[in-house]
Amino acid sequence: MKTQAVRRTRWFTYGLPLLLLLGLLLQACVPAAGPEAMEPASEEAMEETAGNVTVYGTELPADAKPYDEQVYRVAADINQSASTFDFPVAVYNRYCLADLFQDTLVSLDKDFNVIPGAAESWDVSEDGKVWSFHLRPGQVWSDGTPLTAYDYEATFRLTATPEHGWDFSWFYSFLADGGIKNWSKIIAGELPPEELGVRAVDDLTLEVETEDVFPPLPGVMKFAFTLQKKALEEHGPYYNSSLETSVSSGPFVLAEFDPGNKIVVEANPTYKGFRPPLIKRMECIFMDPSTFFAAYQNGDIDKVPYGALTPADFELILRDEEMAGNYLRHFGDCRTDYLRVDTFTEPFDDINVRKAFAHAVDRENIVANVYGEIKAMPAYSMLMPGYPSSDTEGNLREYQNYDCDEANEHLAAAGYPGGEGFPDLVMMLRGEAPAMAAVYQAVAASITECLNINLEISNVDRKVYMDALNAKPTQLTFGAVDYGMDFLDPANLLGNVWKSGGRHSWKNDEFDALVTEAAGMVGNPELRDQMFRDAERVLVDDVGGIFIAHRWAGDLMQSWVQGTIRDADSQGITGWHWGNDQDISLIYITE
Amino acid sequence: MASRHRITNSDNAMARYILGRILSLILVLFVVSVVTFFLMHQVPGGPFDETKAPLPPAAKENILRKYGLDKPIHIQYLNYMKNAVLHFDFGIPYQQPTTTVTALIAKSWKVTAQVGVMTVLLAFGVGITLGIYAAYHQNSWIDNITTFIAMLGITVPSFVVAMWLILFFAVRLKWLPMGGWNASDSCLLGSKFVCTDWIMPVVAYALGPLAIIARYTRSSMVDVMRQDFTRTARAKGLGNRAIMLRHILRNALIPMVTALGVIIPNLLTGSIFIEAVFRINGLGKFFVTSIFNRDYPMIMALFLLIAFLWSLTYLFTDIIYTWIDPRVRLGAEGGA
Amino acid sequence: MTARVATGLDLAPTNGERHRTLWQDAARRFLRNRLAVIGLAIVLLFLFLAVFADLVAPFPYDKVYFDRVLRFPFELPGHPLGTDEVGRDYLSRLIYGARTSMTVGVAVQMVAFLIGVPLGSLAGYVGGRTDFIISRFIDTMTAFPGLMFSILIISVWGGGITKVIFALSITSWIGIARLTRGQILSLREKEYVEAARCTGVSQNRIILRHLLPNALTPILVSISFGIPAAIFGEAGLSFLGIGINDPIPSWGKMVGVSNAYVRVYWHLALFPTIAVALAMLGFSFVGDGLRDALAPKMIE
Repeated sequence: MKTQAVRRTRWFTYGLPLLLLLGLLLQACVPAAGPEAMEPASEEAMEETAGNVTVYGTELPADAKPYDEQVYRVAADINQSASTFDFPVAVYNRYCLADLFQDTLVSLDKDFNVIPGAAESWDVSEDGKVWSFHLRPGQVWSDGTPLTAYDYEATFRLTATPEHGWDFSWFYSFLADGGIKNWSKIIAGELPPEELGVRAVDDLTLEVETEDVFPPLPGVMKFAFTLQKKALEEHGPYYNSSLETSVSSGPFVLAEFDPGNKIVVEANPTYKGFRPPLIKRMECIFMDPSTFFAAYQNGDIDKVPYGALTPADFELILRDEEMAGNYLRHFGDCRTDYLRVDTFTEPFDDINVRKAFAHAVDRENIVANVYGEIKAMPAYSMLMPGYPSSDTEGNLREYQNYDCDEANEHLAAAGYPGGEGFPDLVMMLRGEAPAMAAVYQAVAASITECLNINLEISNVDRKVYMDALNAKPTQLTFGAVDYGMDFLDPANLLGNVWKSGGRHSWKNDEFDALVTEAAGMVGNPELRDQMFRDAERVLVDDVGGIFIAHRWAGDLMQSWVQGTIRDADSQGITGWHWGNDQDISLIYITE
Repeated sequence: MASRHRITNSDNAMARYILGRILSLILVLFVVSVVTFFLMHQVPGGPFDETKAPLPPAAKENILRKYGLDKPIHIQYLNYMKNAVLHFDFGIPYQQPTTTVTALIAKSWKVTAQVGVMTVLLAFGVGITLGIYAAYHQNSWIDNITTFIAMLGITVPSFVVAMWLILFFAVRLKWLPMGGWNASDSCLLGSKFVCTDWIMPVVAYALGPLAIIARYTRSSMVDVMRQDFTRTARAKGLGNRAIMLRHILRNALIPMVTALGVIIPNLLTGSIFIEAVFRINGLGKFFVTSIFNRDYPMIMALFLLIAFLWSLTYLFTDIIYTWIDPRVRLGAEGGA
Repeated sequence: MTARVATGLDLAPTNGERHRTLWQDAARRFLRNRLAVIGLAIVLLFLFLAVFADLVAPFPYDKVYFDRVLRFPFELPGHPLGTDEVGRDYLSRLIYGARTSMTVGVAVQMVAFLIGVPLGSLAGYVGGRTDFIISRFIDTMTAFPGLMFSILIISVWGGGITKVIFALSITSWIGIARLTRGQILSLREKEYVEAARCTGVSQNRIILRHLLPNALTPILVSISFGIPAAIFGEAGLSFLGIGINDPIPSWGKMVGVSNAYVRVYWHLALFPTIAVALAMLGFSFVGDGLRDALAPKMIE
């Protein structure tokens, strides 16, 4: 009876799982759907390249695809939150393809020199505090309205308005003496926004007044973006987040807006500025960063930023000659990884302890084996070689080079021979992802092994970390941070960042005096440069921080993306350069 | 089975019971809201960025005012609850200020729900089939495999299973994509109808519930098959198929409901891991990112949502129990 | 349950024999259960590794070799499981990982026992309003999203092994409290307890000497299932990157980190996942075996 039961119920017991299994197998065996997008361009298009011109009448290079196929595709992190295209609305909450709907007053060339942008020239008053920027005549918004200095004025006032709660408003306060006049008082609500030191004198002249003499100010105007005054008044600051109200004075206009899926911009036919683009369209496709690399290999996107590449991806890139050749390594924002110590409390109040730690980090090996040389170079000081006033010659190396014997001498001099009696320490990390967490584990291992002390690593949430760091007095005895420039002058990476009273619990009068004087110095660039170099020497000698590595940024580009992006700067570095707005306009697509 | 008279009686009891349970559900939501609200405001930081430099106090105040965080915390709580309860308005997520919390959850919920529904279908389909088969063929090799899968599914965390699948099918065999969900290059016919990137997340996720279901089904089937009425029915000459459908499946309902009660609320929290491993852009990631971003409205909404789902599922499973099995006494709490 | 099926163990000896033989019988039943014995062996192995990690592991868990970063198993002699992304011996880190898992698993269940049993007994024995309040409290806690609270709590107070234990303990006691309450409720009506009460034995004594020992069996079983749950909790938090601090190894953290390397360095993902799975299986087998051995008639 039982056997019969088995036979008669077989359809039921086998059927369902079999069906399901079959379904799964069917799905499993089908290869990933073929990329139709990869189809090469037709031959007839090749013949027609004569007269291959852009909407501005510029002739495309000979190897370029027809203008209609000049499409550059990037990927956006689908997880990242965003609400605006515009820097003056929310810096830390921008969509991909941001900041293409206007030009900043100035731009930078590949060697980080300030060059004209929306402003064709500028001059400074006798007392050095009032700068006049002269806009290029004839620039217009895509709706036909002329671009004027009043647009810039309205934008600056918006960013200073307390109710706007601009997330970048710390910046002009952070510049202190170099900040825009009345900035801090206006965001505190003590003065109305009309009192801001940014004024339109006439349609083409914008005046910027600083609190005190500040020579690097033109470079800071890389942040002088503009919104359209009219649109701002009619639709509020988010007018660009909608196809109907979006308006552009930049090289591109919004063409499709479907955040979370796809954003498309197209060359702005009315554009009269300094960087008319060669490409016709830029597409931003939303996907998860972990799939960027696969999409690149599939030919679906033209660029993968280094942040989206895992250590395993890098391994695959380096093993493949063609991909390795298309990985364009660049300075990024000249970011430096370093350990910060609280020099006001034990044990780091003792210079010998700091020196011991500085000499205990085996930077070369950590960079070579844990970071990978494509991602970093060993750091012995704050400024990445290539940054203004940086130690390109390696004169500062001796202060913080790896030398375990010397490290132990210093530790003994501090009263902890052989690490004896040294307190257990916690090294705080600021919410680091696995690759950087690995680096700091290697740093910690290098220190503990050399000095024979105990170190635990606590990788805390970013906000918890910053809260502890910013507390007065700081609650962060020992921690790892990174800092990239805000603008291209040592007054930023040395002055704003390291001057006492800032974010570090380190005070050195000689350093403070040097950077303060140098920051405001006019008319003697050589002396200014030397003073910053002297200041940096003080910083590494007094071990304000223990420098680990300067980070190389980079992008993995498709071989068919060509243009000045592949040209090297004076130091032989290709790829994107911070503050350079021209390269994006000069890329083009080849076969 | 039960006379009409008894049913009306128990209907009355049922109403009172449900009312009591709804009251306790409200109490639970209240407590969860209070604890969450005050706890999350203890976390250092806020919806502003101090990565570069400490914000000037004035700038910080401006941002706090923008988000209504300048008021005393109990006022903030009352405001929040007023909007949430009266207007069903859960605020604006700080991560995406151009949308609302409700809209954001509704949007991300879709993917999580897709994963969930497919998981439930797979878990129930395969789980019940395996369970029935194993019960019919006790100690056969299928039974042993079922036992093994059940063990594995119940004990091994989903993210571990997920890693194994990735290692084998994506890294080693390269048959399936490493992650993603509805990625265009993994979908057949360019549609979002059948995608290969569904397979691993759903299998990894379904294994746990599948195991529970298979186990429950098998044991209740075995129990039922040993019972007299089955033998009687068989002796009376009823066909095997009829026996199975009428008696056995009905008795297997209870374990299914039990399993459902465990699975549904876990679909939300459990998806944190699956979505992390396979980088699926669903609701799961918000559990972590909301806390990291100090997105208070989003944290509150998610906590309340989960607490609500848990309580609701408990309530429903209890009701369904009493409905399909009158032997379960209402309000019989505690006592073994 | 599965274990019982596998051994066909339904032949419970008649209950109510003397105390000594009860435990002996249980031990015999347990040892006759093949899976339970395998589970016990796994658990003992991991406990051994946890306690004697310093002696067993070939390298300290934080010993870095910069010239041996990300090596595959057997690529270098002396690193049979390869090395990790920092250049540390993977086998040693796995062995020390057992220490983390076992510590968390046992500690969380100890806290659960110390909170759950007194609370449950109180509710079950005293009854009335006390019971009502405690029961509502337990109900409320049940609806708390435990994992999310753990994440939130660790965000407030930071990671580290004690904080992980604390975060996991917040909800771990609920099951035990509920169970204890139920057990005490049913036991206190039993004749021998009635008898004790009538002869004027004090309440504390009744709870401690008569009720608890009899309620202990299911609690013990519950704990043996609670340990893998806690191990899973720790692994989950560490997997999300907010659990145990570096450089202390944790299997969950190793799995989480390996996600970024898995496309090339498969060994980083494979070994810790096997370790987690083995630990979970081992404890579950023991739990199943214990339940079948101690209370053969108890169903779920």
